[in-house]
Amino acid sequence: MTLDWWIEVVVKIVVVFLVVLTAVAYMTLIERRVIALIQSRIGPNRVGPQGLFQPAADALKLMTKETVLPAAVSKHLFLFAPVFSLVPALAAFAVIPFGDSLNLFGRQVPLHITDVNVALLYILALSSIGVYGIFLGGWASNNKYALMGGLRSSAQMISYELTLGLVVVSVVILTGSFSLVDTVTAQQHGWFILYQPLGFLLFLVGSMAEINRIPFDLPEAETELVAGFHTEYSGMRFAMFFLGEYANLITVTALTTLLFLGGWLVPWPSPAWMGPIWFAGKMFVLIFFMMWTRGTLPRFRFDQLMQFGWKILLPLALVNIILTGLVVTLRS
Amino acid sequence: MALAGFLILAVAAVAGALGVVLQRNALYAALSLVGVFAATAVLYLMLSAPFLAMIQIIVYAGAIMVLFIFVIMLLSVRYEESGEGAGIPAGVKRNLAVVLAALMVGLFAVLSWTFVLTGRRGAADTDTTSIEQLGLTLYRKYAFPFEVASILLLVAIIGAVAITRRHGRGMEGSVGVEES
Repeated sequence: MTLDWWIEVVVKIVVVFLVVLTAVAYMTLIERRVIALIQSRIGPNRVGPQGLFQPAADALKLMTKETVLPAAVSKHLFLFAPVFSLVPALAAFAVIPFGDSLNLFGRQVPLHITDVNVALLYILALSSIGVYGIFLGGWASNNKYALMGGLRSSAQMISYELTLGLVVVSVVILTGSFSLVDTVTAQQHGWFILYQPLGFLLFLVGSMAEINRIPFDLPEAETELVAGFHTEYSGMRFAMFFLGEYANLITVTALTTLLFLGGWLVPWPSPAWMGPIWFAGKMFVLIFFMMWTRGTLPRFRFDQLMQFGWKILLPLALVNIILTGLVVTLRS
Repeated sequence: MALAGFLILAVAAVAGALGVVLQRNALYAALSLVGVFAATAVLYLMLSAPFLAMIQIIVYAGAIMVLFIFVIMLLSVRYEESGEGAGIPAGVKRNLAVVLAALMVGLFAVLSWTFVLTGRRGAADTDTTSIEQLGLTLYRKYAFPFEVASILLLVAIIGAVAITRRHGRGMEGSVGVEES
C-alpha cells in the first residue's frame, strides 16, 4: 500500500471512469446512426462533423431541462432509485481487465483496476443490485405505468439472471477460477466460444434480456407503457437511468468478450499494447450486433418473454452445465 | 486502518438494524435491512471471505430482500398505527420487546464469556483454495444435508404454488397486482 500503489490505482480509476463515460455518451450516437442505417435513413449528422458533437448536445439538453418532481412520489426513493441503477453499472469496471501488463514509467502496470478471485461473482452481485433501481423507481413514481414497467422489468431481470449465472458456472468449470484474468489466460489455447457455443448463445441472449434491450424491452415499451419505470423522470435523473442502461451494455459486452471471445488475446503473437485494442474491437462487434438486433427485431410479449426465459433458456443452461461437466470429467 | 474500517461498517450495520426496527414505513425498513446486509458483506470481505461476501449480496440482498420488497409493495403494507388494533396495548408491546432484547443481549454476553471464541480465521491462503475447499466439503462431507436442504426448498416451492393456485385456475405469466 505504498504511495506508488495508490497513485497507480487512482490514475487507473480516473482513466477507466472517463473512458467509460465517454464511450457511453458516444454509444448513443453510434446506436442512432446504426439504427438509421438499418432503417434507410441518415440519423444525426448535423451537430459537428458527422454528428460527433451530438452527445454533448444531448448532455446539455438533459442538464438544462426542468427536473420535474411530481407531488405524489415517495421523495427519497424517487431521488435515490437512479443511483441504484447507475452505480452498479459503473462499479463493474473495477474488475474488468482490459489487457495484460504494460511497461509504463518503468513499472509493470497490469491493465485492470483489481484482480479479485471472485470477480465473476462480484459482477453477478452488482447485476442483482441493479434490479433495485428499476423497481424502486417504478414504485416510487406513484404512477400505474411506471409500476407495471418496474415490476415487469425486475421480473425479467431476475429470471434471466439465473441463465447468466448458470452459463458462468459452465465457464468456471473450464477455467477453474472466478477471476476474470484467469478466465482470459485459460483461453490461450482456444477461445471459449469454440468449446461452449451453446453457452455463448445463452449468455448473449440472457444479457440482452438483462439490460432491457430490444427484443426484451417490454418494460420500457413506448407503445404500451409510456416509458415504463422511468416515465416520471426528467432531466438529469432520466440521464442517470439512460447512462446506466448504456453502461450496462458496455459491461455486458465486455463480460461476453472476456468469457467467450478471449478478452485481449490476439490470435498471433503481438506486442502487449495490441491487447486492449483487440479487446475494444471484439466488444464493438458485439455492440454492433446488439444494435443490429435492436433495429431489426420486434419485441417479445411479456408472457412470451417469461416462458422463453424459464422454459427454454434455463433448461438449456442446465444441459450446458451437464455437458461441460461430462466432457471435462471424461477428458481428464 | 482496519479498525477504522470496521468501526464505520459496524456503525452502518447497527444504524441499518435500528432503522429496520424503528422505521414506521415497511418499505424503508426493508431497504435498511438491505443496508445491513451490504455492511455485513463488506465485513466478510475484511475477514478474508470474499466468496461469502459476494454470496451474501447475491442471495440475501439480491434475491431474498427483492422478494420481501415485492411483497411489501404489492400488498401495500400501511403504516403501523400503534394502539389502534384491539388486543395487547402498545405500552405492553414495547416493554415486552425491551425485555426480550435485554434477555438476548444478556444471553450473548454470558455465552461469549463461557465459550471463548478462538478468533481463528479460515484458510488464510488464496481464496480460490477456500472456494475449492468449500465445494469439496459441501459436496463430499455434507452431501446428504445439502440434498435434504434442496428437497426442502422444492417442497416449499410446490407448497407455495399449491396454495396460490385455486379452483383449478391456471397461473398466467403476467406480473401485476393480483386481486386475491
